[in-house]
Amino acid sequence: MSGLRLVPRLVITPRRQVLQSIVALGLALLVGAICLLLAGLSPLDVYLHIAEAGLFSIDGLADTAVCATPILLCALGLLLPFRMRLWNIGGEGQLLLGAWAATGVALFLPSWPRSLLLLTMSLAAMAAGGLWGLIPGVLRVRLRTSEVLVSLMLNYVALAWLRFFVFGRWSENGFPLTPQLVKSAWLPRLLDWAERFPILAGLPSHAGFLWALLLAICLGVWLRRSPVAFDLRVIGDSSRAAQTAGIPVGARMILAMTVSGAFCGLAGMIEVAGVVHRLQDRFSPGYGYSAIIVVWLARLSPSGVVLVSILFGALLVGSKDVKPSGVAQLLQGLILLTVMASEIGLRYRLVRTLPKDKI
Amino acid sequence: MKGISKRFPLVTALSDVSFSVALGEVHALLGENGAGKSTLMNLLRGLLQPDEGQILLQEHPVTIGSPQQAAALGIGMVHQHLSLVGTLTAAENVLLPRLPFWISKRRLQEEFAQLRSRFGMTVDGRALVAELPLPERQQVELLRVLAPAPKLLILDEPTAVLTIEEAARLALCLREHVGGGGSVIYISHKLDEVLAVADRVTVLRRGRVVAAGIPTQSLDRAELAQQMMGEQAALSSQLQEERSERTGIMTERAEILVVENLHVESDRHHRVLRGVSLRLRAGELFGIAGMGGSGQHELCEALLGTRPVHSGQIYLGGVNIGNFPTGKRRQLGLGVVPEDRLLEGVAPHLSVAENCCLNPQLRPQSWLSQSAFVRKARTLIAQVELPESALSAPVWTLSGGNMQKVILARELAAPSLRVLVAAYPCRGLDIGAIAAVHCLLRACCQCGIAVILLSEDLDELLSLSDRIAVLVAGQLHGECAATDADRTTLGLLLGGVIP
Repeated sequence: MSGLRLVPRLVITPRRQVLQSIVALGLALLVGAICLLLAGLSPLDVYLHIAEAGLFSIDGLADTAVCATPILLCALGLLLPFRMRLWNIGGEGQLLLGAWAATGVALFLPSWPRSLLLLTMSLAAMAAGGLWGLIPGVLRVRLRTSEVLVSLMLNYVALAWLRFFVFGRWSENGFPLTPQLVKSAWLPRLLDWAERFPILAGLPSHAGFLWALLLAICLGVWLRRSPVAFDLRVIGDSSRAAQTAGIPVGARMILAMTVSGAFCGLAGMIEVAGVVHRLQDRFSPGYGYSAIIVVWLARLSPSGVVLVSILFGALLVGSKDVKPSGVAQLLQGLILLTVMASEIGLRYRLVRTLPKDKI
Repeated sequence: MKGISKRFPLVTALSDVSFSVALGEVHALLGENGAGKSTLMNLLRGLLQPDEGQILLQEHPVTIGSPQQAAALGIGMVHQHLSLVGTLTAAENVLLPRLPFWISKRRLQEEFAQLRSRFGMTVDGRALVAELPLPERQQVELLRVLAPAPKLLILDEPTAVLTIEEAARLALCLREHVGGGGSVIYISHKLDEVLAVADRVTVLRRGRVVAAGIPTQSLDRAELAQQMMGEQAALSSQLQEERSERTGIMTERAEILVVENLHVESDRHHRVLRGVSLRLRAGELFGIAGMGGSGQHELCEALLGTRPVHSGQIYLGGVNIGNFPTGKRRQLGLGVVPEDRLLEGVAPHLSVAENCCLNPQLRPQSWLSQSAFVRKARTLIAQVELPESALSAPVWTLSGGNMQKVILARELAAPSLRVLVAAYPCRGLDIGAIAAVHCLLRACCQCGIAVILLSEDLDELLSLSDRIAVLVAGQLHGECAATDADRTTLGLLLGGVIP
């Protein structure tokens, strides 16, 4: 009998990883196209529209940068624990809490000078998000709870916490949103310079995107060069070996979860200070969750995360006015599935087995 | 089984082994680890095919191609590692392979109770296997194999986890089985037990039968132990001289590692180390013999700091390190060659170069780069004769021997190294690699590093160690200088006979 057999690959090259991600993306688009057909839409038209509205126009690109920023920051954060096989699913909650902390600072210290205020907001957001990442990390290390469950559940706690404030304490006239923040708590935007450069009029891109890019570069260098980042890789490959080698595994886990939370918290602050300028219910369409998919598709590489975040931003922007809504979520979900499935293709290759001679 | 030989690449596991079991007898197969017991049984179970010789079942030659075929021929086996479904009840586990499509729970329990009483077992048929203590699980496993009434029952180290009482029950159960016309092959290294249970004994040593089918009534324990361990290999006079010279120097040296009355618990909160004390001088090699599972694993972990110490002290160079984390112990000069090299020794998907720098104190510099890793690793692997081309390969692609060399090179490279704990460093290695490992361990001692060597190979221990002791049931026994070591005593200790 001849047949097909999966054989483990000896070496997984970076090139193979990129190829595999592209294949996964293509498969997701293909399955998505079938779904769109079933919904009575022309897949080609929808995809072209998304690409045009999200990537191939100045306005679209500006919007995409705005949308990509929180995804990028969250994804950079998630990268750390994911590299050590620690699954922080709580990016969304950490983002919400960061946004809450930043808003609080801006509401209670409105008279502070702009740079100091923005810095304080960032630090507060990172502290709040970091705390929200620290909790599942500590519980995992000390009590061996599942960080997946704890971080996921904390998302809902964070959401309830946020709602408690926007519906109650900080509510403006009973609406589920806070008063608008003072201008000194706003991040500089391109349209701020519209008077001098008319071409920038109406472009909402803010400085947060540049911050995120800068952080991505810093993180990339740190991951390649720092001994602590090497520890994370060792733990990700074999935590027993790391333990035997004398790497403080527990401390590193807590560190990764905390830093991860801090990144997501910063994403929340940037969303508040750069886009909504106030805290409101449902201001995040699930950036923290999208980031999980982004990290997978980018195969845990910082440069990949930048690229994929921008693509995802474009997807969100481009599918905004596609009816029925939800195309973006559909595609995101499909991408996660195909990326997970393609892991098999990454680790194994198909081999045709030779027919076995009988006797 | 007649004239069986089995060769693996590099090793002849069995050479010209003949072995017979009569109807209605319990036949014990004794031997050290690596003597060929498992290979012989794997032939019977159809997992391996003999290179020479044949297997006769009731005087008909048979070929056993698979475990299913073995089962069809009436050969049943109880493994050292139990193979039960934890989420099913004891009764379901026992009758699972023979269940009809539909059976009421009551019928099932009745059938189970019948079987249970026949073999004098006590386990509750309705209990989930996962919730049963280990000895009762073993009862379930035994019943499962006995249920289809096999003609030949093979037990592989069945009493490794049993209490004396349980072992006695097992003996009764086996009597019942052979009374019904079945036969039993009983594999063990515990002499007392074998004498209690078996009718005849066959001893294997290094793939050869050294004593065939001796009736247990006419047997001398000490003689049996000696047969198991083999004749004392005469140490070359030069080595002997070197030894006594070393013993002279040793007494002047400072004690570097002192362990006092160490108690450690296993994962299941059993006390597995019960008052282990040992003292090591710089440059001394202390050999610890004993079958795996007598607390070796926990001793290594407790020394390394990956398992909490229940009570007792560990001093390294005068500092009590009992509560220190692993990293700090390593900084103070502890090195480890772990038991499971693939699981604990290396990060398998990282490159050889990176694996050379796994320990925080061995990182090339505070700002890492691939070339720095390679430069650092190059200096390390030079001393263990590894090809430089291997540096960028993932470490799991290496052979066991080369992997062990990487680990040793790394551990020996720590500038602070004063005590090295080597757990079964030669397990599964070929002869060349074993020689290399031995050579490195000797070199270690010459540099004044104290070594604790855990091994199941008595010859290895006797040829390398300065002092030797046996770890049995969580305690160290029979500590003496290796030159004064008496094989018979050691053999008895290894067999679990504590004076």
